[in-house]
Amino acid sequence: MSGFSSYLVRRLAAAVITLLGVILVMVLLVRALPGDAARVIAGLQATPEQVEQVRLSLGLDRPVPVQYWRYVVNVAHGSLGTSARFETSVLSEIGHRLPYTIVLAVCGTLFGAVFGIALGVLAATHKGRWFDALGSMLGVAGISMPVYWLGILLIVLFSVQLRWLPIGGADGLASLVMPTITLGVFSMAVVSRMTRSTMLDTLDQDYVRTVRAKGVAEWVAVRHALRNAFIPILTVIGLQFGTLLGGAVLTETVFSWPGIGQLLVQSINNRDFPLVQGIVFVFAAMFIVLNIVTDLLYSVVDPRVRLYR
Amino acid sequence: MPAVATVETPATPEATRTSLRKLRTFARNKGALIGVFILLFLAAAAIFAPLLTSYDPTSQDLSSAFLPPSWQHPFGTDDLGQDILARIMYGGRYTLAIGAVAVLIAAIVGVPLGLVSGYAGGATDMVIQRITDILLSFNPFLLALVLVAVFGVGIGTVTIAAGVGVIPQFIRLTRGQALSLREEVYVEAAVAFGEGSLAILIRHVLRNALTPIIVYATLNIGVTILVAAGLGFLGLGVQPPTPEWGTMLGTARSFIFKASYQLTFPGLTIFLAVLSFNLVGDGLRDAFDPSLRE
Repeated sequence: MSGFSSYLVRRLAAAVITLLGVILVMVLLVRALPGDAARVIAGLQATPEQVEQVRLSLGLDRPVPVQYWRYVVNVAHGSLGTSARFETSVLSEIGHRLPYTIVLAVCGTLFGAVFGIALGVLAATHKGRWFDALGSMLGVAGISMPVYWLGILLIVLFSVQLRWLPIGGADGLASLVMPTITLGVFSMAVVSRMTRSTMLDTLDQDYVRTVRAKGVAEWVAVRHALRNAFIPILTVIGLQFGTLLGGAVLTETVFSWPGIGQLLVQSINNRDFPLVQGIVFVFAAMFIVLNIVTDLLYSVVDPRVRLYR
Repeated sequence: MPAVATVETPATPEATRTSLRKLRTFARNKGALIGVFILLFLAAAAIFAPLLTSYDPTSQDLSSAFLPPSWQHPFGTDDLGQDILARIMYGGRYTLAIGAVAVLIAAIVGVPLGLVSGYAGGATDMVIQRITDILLSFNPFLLALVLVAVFGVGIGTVTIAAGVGVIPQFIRLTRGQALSLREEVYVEAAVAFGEGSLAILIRHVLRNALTPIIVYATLNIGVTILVAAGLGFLGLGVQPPTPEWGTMLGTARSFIFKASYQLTFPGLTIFLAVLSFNLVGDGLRDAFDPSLRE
């Protein structure tokens, strides 16, 4: 087997082990529910028969290892169980909502990447001047901003006062604007901080000095530097995507965006733990896959990076 | 095994001079000073709240509900007629304390795990690293959300839930520190002198890892405040009438058309609190341990 495929197999094996751990944590947490877990999940109005039904279907009548094993086998067969509230398959509930979350996360990432790189490059090329100071301030303000408050401020300004944008929901491009900004500002801040510091390093390198010595326009030199600064920036963008998924829960709730983040909060309020388990599993799986993809991209962008020996 | 002799981590006059220089670097950092100032301001408002306001943060008076900001009520009143400024001042006692205690819990759990992981290596290291991976694949907010969903809402649960998410940060950091410090000459010397592993870990490795741990702790208080207030915002954090900032924001959200001023100040305070911890953390890092820069 070539070095690359054995690397990939090792990474995927580690990913599977981590996911098994995630499932274990979720199973143990449902067991830890105070009182009778089946009663809690079935709800206060449930008849004793319904409670028993929930107990049986979740395997709560069996020892933990059996319950765990059943969940793992189900996942292997492509099933995440049945929602206690909707009595439909968890996978189909998630399937309806997931595209909205992915669209929002991708838009937020793009927003953060484009504006973050632009801010970072401008700050690095204007080091020590007022724009650099402004950029640093925006950077630290961006990572300190509670997403829920930013979302509310945007709603008050653009929906309540100016009436330019819809207050929430998912109806056309206009409804995507505020959630994208809300979710993207944190990434923008992190990316701009990273871009500034790597650009400062690369702008100092010999080859950039050579390019400058040739008397080309400044933006040509910056372009050369940016191409090489791109690798760490890309990694940060990839890693940010995971944080973004957490922010999506709050952003979706603020804007009634019908993604799985909003569904997660709703199912927690409904005590619908099979659905909670399923959504958390999907979030964790997305995070793990994205990490692997980022590492792979890293080696594509820079062939000097060797992932395996 | 009785220690025959102990090897002290070097603490020469030169080391003292270096720390003084670092302290001056910190004091010259404008951002960090602004952070310290905001932090002292918020902490003082929380501690001296009873002296600074005559309003009770939880006494309801429906006849004075929904009053916009005025001289009597600088930040206005909420839907139950409670003075928002008083609630924000008293609320610092909850939000700031929850953030700090959550990080303390995370450090108490994470630091020993990281030290052992890095120093022991082998199977112990592998097991601890797998646990870290699992914790990391939940993001801190998601993990906290699931924990309060199971164990219920309340100050204690919220604090622990906010802290659990940042445990992996401390494990990773101290593991790295232990790995590199293990190679240091004075640690080798201590081993040669027959000092026990625990003594070495505490006396040398932990003592030298303390600076980065403090930097990380400061930066992570910002994270835990955001997480705890985020839970409050969703109605899954500290419950009303307790004046926690995120909870206040969550309640006020229903009145976004009627009284948007109710949303301004609790949110601004959360932002300022997180900002101050980030500014101070950045300053400490740049002065004491620039190698921690991403």
